[in-house]
Amino acid sequence: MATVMVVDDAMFMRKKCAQVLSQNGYAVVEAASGVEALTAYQQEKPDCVLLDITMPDMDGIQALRELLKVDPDAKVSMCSAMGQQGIVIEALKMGAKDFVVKPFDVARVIGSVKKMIG
Amino acid sequence: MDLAAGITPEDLNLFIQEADEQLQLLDEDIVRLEKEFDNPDLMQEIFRAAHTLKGSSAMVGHQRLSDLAHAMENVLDQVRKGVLSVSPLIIDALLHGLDIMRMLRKELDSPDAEPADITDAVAELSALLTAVNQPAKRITEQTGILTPDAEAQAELEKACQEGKQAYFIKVSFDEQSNWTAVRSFQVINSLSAIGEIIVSLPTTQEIEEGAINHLFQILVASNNSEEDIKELLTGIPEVESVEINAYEKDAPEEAPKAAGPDSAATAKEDIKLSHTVRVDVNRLDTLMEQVGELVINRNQISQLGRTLAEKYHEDEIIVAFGDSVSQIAKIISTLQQDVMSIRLLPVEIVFNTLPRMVRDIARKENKKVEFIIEGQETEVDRSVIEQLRDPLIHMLRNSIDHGIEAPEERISAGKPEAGTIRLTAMHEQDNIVITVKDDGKGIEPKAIRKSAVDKKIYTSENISKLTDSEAVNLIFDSGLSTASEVTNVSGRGVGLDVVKTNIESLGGSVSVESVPGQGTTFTLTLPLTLAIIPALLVSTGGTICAIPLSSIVEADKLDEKEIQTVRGKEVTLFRGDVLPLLRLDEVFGWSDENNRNNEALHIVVVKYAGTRVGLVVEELLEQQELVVKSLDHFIGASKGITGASILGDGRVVLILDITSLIRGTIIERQNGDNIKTRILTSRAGTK
Amino acid sequence: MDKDTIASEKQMVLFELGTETYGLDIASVYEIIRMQPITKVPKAPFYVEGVINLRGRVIPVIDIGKRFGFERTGDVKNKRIVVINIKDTTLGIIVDAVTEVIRIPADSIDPVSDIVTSGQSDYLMGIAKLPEKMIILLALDKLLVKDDELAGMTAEGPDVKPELANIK
Repeated sequence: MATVMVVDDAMFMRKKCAQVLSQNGYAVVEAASGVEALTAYQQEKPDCVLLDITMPDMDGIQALRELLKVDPDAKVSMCSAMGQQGIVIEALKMGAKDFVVKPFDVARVIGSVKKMIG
Repeated sequence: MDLAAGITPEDLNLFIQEADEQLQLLDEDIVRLEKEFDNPDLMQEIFRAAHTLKGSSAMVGHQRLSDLAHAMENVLDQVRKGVLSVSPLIIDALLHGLDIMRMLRKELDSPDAEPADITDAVAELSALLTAVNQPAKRITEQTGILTPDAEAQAELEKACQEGKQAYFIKVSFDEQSNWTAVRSFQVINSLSAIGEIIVSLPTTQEIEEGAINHLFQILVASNNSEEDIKELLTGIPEVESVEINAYEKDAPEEAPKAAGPDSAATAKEDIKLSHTVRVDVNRLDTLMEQVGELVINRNQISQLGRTLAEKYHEDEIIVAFGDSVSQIAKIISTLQQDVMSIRLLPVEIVFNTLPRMVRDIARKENKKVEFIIEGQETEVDRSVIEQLRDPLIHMLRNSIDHGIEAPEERISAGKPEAGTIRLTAMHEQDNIVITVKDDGKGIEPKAIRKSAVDKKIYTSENISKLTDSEAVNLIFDSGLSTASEVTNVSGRGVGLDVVKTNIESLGGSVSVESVPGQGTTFTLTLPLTLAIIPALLVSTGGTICAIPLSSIVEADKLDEKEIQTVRGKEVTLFRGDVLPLLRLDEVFGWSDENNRNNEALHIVVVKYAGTRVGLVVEELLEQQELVVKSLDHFIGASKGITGASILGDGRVVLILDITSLIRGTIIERQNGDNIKTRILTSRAGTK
Repeated sequence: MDKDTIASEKQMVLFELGTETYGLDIASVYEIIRMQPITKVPKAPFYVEGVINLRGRVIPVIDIGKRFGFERTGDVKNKRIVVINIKDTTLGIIVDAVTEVIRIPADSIDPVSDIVTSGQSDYLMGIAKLPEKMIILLALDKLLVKDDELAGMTAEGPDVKPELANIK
């Protein structure tokens, strides 16, 4: 079973996203911040990551940068709501593999995960 | 309102829990923002809260909440970027939006509620944006056709020499898409993975500047087939169509260099997972209740142990049992303390809701107030926290309304234009002490004295006996007001009598100090917990009741001969004062004056609204620490009872709420035709 | 009629009040305890006897006989307190005796006629006709709603007796 890590400080979003993923047969690791994500990434070695952009302490961009340092092949899809186009582009330039718009469309989340894991 | 499909009640609960947190955070932070407008962290936090709300509410299908959060986020974004600067106008609009958000949030609790209208709030917020007159980034439709320049040609040639095929690709995006720039980047990323991008229209730089509409043209050299590329690109969301043609000419150009991960300093050191857990408060209450039961049982077992030890003091087994009992008793005491400490919460929870209120009142009154909070980390039991808010609001209102002068008045008095109100909390032994200190005009003892005499609360002779400090404290007396003009908020003193009564019934105290011209300080003292209270057990009408020690002045024997009547009402002379008497069993309706027991009486002198009343009971039993248990609403309807407790022998005792008991009795007797006794309130006895 | 009563059978706890037999849905009965010392509560509604200690919880106890306007009967020793749980409220009901637990076929339950209850059939779920006797089935949730309305009334209050006594 492939493992997906969901990183979002917004608890509701995180739970809901995790729920959708586990209903579709993925194992889910949750992290509530960029810092937690880094630790959990190294412990759990997920196959891919859904990474929220707007987070306290370490935002999605910083977290992405650190994740890629730890694992240059990390498969990361950025999650973002409207109005963050510039940041998403920055993430894509840095090496994010995909991008999902919030609020989540179930098919898109699964599609993005499938695309990353292959 | 209808929720989105697939949202379960659990989901909704989760959402509500988080939304409430975000709303509270916004409430606190937006008010702070007005002062700390140059604090980027604060700005960021507010932005995130609005952002989170927008996302999650859209997820549960609360579209209006999401839309409003979006409107707020737009404004916040402009503030964050420095396009808009923080002004009272912006704060007002944000707070207004927040108020509507709270209404929207409430709709989730009461589905039948009239749906709140967000139009005004959104308009107010949007007006701020147009006020900046920020020109929307001009997006020019790319009508041109991509033509490689010389540099691109050279690069193309080179790629072809390596055996790659050049393709000219036209990608059209969905007309509705707001994400064309991002999608274009996804196209670029996908193509870079399988080949070399020679040139694109618009260029990556132009895309970043937002100069892309719905058509994106790329010249790419790749080893992959046309079909592969097409499949790759159509997999990108919002891509409507992909047109691929083999390109025959060739030219080089510097490929857009991917920005490599730059090694800026990051907070890598504090990588650790959170070590706290969230606990539902109800669970905490249950835990506390169970520990309370343990304490009661411990008392029972200890008592049993003692009885056994007295009876069989030589028996080894009993001695061993006694040791074990005292061991358990110790553990239970520790456990009780631990659970009590878990229930402690910082007063911050209440304090944080106050700046908003202070701001609103000050704005309404056209006063300038600097509000400073100190000691918000001071912890008290949950039961006390709930009781803090109302008294604090009254005192703060009082300070803004009557303490802080209007800006002109302050300037002419040589004070800074803005008044300062300092709210401080600290521990003092087993109490929490909270002060509200302002640098306003203070309270004139003279004015209070005059008012007290005018209102016939005091005679001019009695009033002269009071010190200035005692006179000033009369503002806690009901009906005293020194405001020359009563504003819509409060006359000085209005509401403070209620504060005093309530605080005293909780076993606390409240006082005021003032230096005319320099300011006023309110001091509020409350016990750290209300879950366990010391009380005196008394018996009346064959039943045992508990009177909280905090209400008691003293207790003594009462000889029948000491009881006199004044116009049919029983009174006694106590410490030189005339003390009205109330027979507890008659107050409870368990007995009446026809079958009065007049032998072996006791009196418990209690505080009531600044005066004293003597409660007549049969016996004084003992003093005990009682674990307070709440009563069911059924019984709760009985005025004068604050809760119940269980004694060591398993009996239930009722804990009296002296203030409401006496107030209720007075009202009853004044209203009822069956007036037996009318209480004389002896105003003389304040000290 | 209540949806549950349409189900084929209902399990009821039967108890006596005066000369009548009443039934309570077993699902709402938490436990049955012996009579115990009751602490009087001043100014409570007249049928509230007081509060008791149920293993560390303080719960109110009501005298359902008084509630229905019966005269006090029987030996206090045989009385029992039926502890029930209704809508997050736990309370004890004093009854003269608890007799048995039986299953009552749903089709033996008749709705209550207004004639026997003087129009106040709210508290009653129905009357079960068994070969040997009639059982009055109580709808406790309804009873509690009424009690809430009555909660403000005190023992001194006039005419607070609900006219439910005349089911004969």
